Amino acid sequence: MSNDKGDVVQSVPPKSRWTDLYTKEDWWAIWLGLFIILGAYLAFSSGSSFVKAIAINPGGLKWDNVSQIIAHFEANASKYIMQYVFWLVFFTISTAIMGIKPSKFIPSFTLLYIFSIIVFTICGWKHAASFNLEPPLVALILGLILANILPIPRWLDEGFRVEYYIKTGIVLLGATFPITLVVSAGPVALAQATVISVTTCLTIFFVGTKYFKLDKRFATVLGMGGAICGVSAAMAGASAVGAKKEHLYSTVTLVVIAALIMIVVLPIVSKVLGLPAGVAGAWIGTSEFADAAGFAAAVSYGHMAGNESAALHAFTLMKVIGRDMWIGIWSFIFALIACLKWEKEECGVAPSPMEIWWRFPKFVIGFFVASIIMTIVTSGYSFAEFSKNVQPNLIAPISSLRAWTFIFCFASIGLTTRFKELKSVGWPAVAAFSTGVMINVILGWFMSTQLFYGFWSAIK
Amino acid sequence: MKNLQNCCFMCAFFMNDPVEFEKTFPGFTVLSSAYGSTRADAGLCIKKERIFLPSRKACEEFALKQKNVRR
Repeated sequence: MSNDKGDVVQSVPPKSRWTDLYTKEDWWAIWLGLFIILGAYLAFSSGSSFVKAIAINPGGLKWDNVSQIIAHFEANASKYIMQYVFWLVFFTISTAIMGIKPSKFIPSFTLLYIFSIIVFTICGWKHAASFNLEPPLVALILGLILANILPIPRWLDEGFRVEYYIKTGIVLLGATFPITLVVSAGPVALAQATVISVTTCLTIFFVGTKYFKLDKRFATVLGMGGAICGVSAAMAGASAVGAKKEHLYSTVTLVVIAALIMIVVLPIVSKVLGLPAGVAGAWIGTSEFADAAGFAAAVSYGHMAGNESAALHAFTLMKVIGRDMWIGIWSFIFALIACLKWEKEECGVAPSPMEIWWRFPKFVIGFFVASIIMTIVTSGYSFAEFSKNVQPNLIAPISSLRAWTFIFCFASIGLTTRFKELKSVGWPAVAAFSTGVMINVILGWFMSTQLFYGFWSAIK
Repeated sequence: MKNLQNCCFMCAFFMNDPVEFEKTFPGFTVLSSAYGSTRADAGLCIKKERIFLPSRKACEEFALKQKNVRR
């Protein structure tokens, strides 16, 4: 079928939502994350060291001369090969089922794996911390340099699946995240996230439409992008209100640039302010747009503060559990407004409340399931047994594999960002978005460091 | 599943293939993905250059798609 330009377009056929179980990366992240957790538990229970072996990571090497690096890789070459094959097989099969060609994914992922080893090795230098050589920042900056200096072909992007890797990492993070913490801290995180999400979204929308005369659909896309989870939320908002292509494209540019700036700036400012890791994690969770960018900032500051766990836990509570929940709700609300008020004749049908579920970031379910499973599994051990046996033989391998997925993600952010490809954006959109971001950052800072300081600083 | 016969989904101008969608927006994959749940099955109308859900009512530009064709 052709249109009048001679283009042939392709649509994916309407599916039952059951097909999402194998066509959406959210579900694949759940399957892989739970598979690793189950495998780690079975290995732990049977005394096998297999999972521990493939969870090897040069990040903790603390080398101070090259011969130590060579010796490490010579001694552990088989473990790295097994690990590479494990990731490659699972990611290649799952992405192939989703529609990505293995002929493109395999060479791309291979380069990403080698790049990640290099990043981990650099950050395993004995003096890396003194120079703030945190793995997320090193991966991001090296990736940006390569992507913007070398002519990296675009087809390699097929293996740089930022979202897929971070979602898998979040499910694995659930295994080290006690469900009791979610229950006890969740209400505060949800309350803070609600204030932030509503305030930021409405600020961008009203400032954009009233003062900068932006199209209301454009203001919706900008508002959702700034208030919830960046590009994904912008996409959801764009389809909810029928936004123009250029609206989404412009929002992508604004979100990417602002997110990259904040990956670097937020940890540095947090360090200057001397914030506890939990407080900084909550602030980053309220200020960053995308999960991937936020985790990069939170992990960086966690390393700087010497308490990665607290920064990650607070960030996850605020961003993944708090703010990401809003994507379906805002989409539904704006779709209702668009259909019933803005373009009643064109729209035809009112949106279904099921929109909230369809848009729900499903990987969060995997995070909760992993958290519940591991909380139950580890509840039978005394503190001494946990520290001596469970931590090094079950939790540590899962954490190490999570670190790999995170570094795949952070490296992919850098390697896919080509500044020359980003669309130029008019100043009204920049002004409206920046106003929302400023309010977001300041309000997030106030709530994290003043209003709920005691709460967030106690997060472990 | 609701009937999508008179909706964007059946239109020749509606494109929601994730591979093509990501190619349409350079920079989209830096912090997102067309394979995520949050996109649902949303796609781009290449006639109007607007982003719609496949369930949206067909407009005056509607051209029936005869089958799904890969570019």
